[in-house]
Amino acid sequence: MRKITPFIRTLLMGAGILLVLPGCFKDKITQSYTIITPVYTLKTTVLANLNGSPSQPIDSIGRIYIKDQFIYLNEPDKGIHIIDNSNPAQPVQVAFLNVPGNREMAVKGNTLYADMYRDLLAIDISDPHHINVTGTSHDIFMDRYDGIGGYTSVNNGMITDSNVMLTSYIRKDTVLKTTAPKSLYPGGIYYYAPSPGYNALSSSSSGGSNSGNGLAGSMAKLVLLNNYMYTLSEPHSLAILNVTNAPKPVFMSTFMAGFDLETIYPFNDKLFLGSQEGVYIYDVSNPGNPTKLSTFTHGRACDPVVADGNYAYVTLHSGTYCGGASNELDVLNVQDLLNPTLAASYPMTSPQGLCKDNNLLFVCDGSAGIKLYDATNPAALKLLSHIDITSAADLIASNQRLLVIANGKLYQYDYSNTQNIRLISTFSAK
Amino acid sequence: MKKYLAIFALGCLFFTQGLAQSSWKFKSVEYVGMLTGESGKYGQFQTINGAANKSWFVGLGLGLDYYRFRSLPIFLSVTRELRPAKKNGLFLTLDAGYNYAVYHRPGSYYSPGFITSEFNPGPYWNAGLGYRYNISTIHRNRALLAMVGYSYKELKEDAKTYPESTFDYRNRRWSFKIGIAL
Repeated sequence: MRKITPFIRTLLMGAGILLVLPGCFKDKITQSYTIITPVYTLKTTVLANLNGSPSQPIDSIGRIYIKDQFIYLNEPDKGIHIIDNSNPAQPVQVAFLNVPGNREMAVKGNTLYADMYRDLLAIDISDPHHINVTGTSHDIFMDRYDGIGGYTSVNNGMITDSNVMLTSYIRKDTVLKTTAPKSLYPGGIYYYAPSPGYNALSSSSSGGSNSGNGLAGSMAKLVLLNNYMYTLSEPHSLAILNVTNAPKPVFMSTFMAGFDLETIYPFNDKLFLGSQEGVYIYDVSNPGNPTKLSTFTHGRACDPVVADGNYAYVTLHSGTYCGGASNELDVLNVQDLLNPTLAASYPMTSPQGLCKDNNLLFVCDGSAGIKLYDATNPAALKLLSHIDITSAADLIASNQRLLVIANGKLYQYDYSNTQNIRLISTFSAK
Repeated sequence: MKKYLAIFALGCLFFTQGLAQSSWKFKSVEYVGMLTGESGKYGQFQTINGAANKSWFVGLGLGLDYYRFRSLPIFLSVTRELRPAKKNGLFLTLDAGYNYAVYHRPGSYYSPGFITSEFNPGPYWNAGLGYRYNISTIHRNRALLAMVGYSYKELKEDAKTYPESTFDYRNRRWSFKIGIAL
């Protein structure tokens, strides 16, 4: 018994530690995050400096638009890169338009339309190196935040000066001591610091090819149809502008067009609006006064739509803020525009942008790459081939050339032989 | 994680086969115990398998650590008996390795699956003073063990929330274990 005493003593010591000393050691928990500080610039300064450096690196690519030999790449919230694609094997970056808050664009003749937060700019790009703003329509994009009214410590907590706009952010990595979060909620904390720079700076069938306008990708929210521009003013409203005089767009009206709208696709005298709940079809034979023809409702998901004369093609993908659980390609029979019906549904991995060139249908399908279908019979699509490129967001097919935006790069393919799609070039100015 | 477990099992297998022809003898130690610190009291389990020679024992350990976030520590363990000539006596142990979280934070109520978190492994170590009480007159390795010490485990959590953050948890605890050596 005497031999086991030290053993029992050790046990008792351990029990004592558990009861008496748990507070001796303190855990150290830190939270690392980035403080994002907005930088404001005078609007006059912004407009005077729209011509950026042609060699501006491309960090990310949003929308894509083509017209004639030029490709226009939107870098979200930063501006538009103009690429001369006369030789698709060697595209050349010729200009960068420094447009803060830019997300959408379209080109009619020599006029480039670009959103700058809430405003629409008409820019003469006859000489891309010396562009000229020919017209401005204010407050077209009602859901865009330009930094005005935002909470900062400047001006008693609010930026109210409408002569300035948000042009960039300063990022600063920060580490602070904290306690363990019990659960993670979106929107719980938002770190927003005043701008230190505020005072210092206070000094085909893709997207509507028609009558001199270019081609947009399927994710476009701003499109041209003949002499009219249609754009999502906010997720429920469509704004109409008359661009008969291209350099001077004239705002006509805004109307409630649907719920949670995301994309616009013009075809002939129809508009197909992709929303998170379905597809809205409008007749624009009277361009200034669109008439709603029908609505096709599907499960909730993010979804662009493209169409031809008889069918509309919709991709639904889940795993985003849109919610939903569907990943599929839906083919709608729109021969009777007043009564669209589901013709077929095809399971997908995570589809996004899509486009159609005659009987060929291209679909960006996340990690599964780009799928090319023979859509001769839309109710029974036939997979012809696929391009092994992941995370493709959007594409435009025209004249046997496919332009793809993926992973911050622009890829060009020759699909004249659908069984052997050939990579022509990869463009990245990073 | 399966890969590490397979490597651990294979390592043990080759190790025991190699021991058959040396003065080192296979030894296995199983522990159950408690961890106590700022976050509270949690359970722990460990198995350490290796070789013993005279006063030394070197082994590979695999554990289950419930402190704050459940994790699997994988570590190298070195033990030195302070009075090897004695049948019973004190020993010192030092463990060092990594621990891998086997914990998934529940998704947000508002947007399941969109706000996510992912745990990354971090260093793990433990230092303790123990007492061994021999329970066999034939097999010297067979003993009851009791140990107290200091234990540290670190985990990082990448949280996709607002603001997108990385949490670094450096957990410092008292460790108390009882076990059996075979």
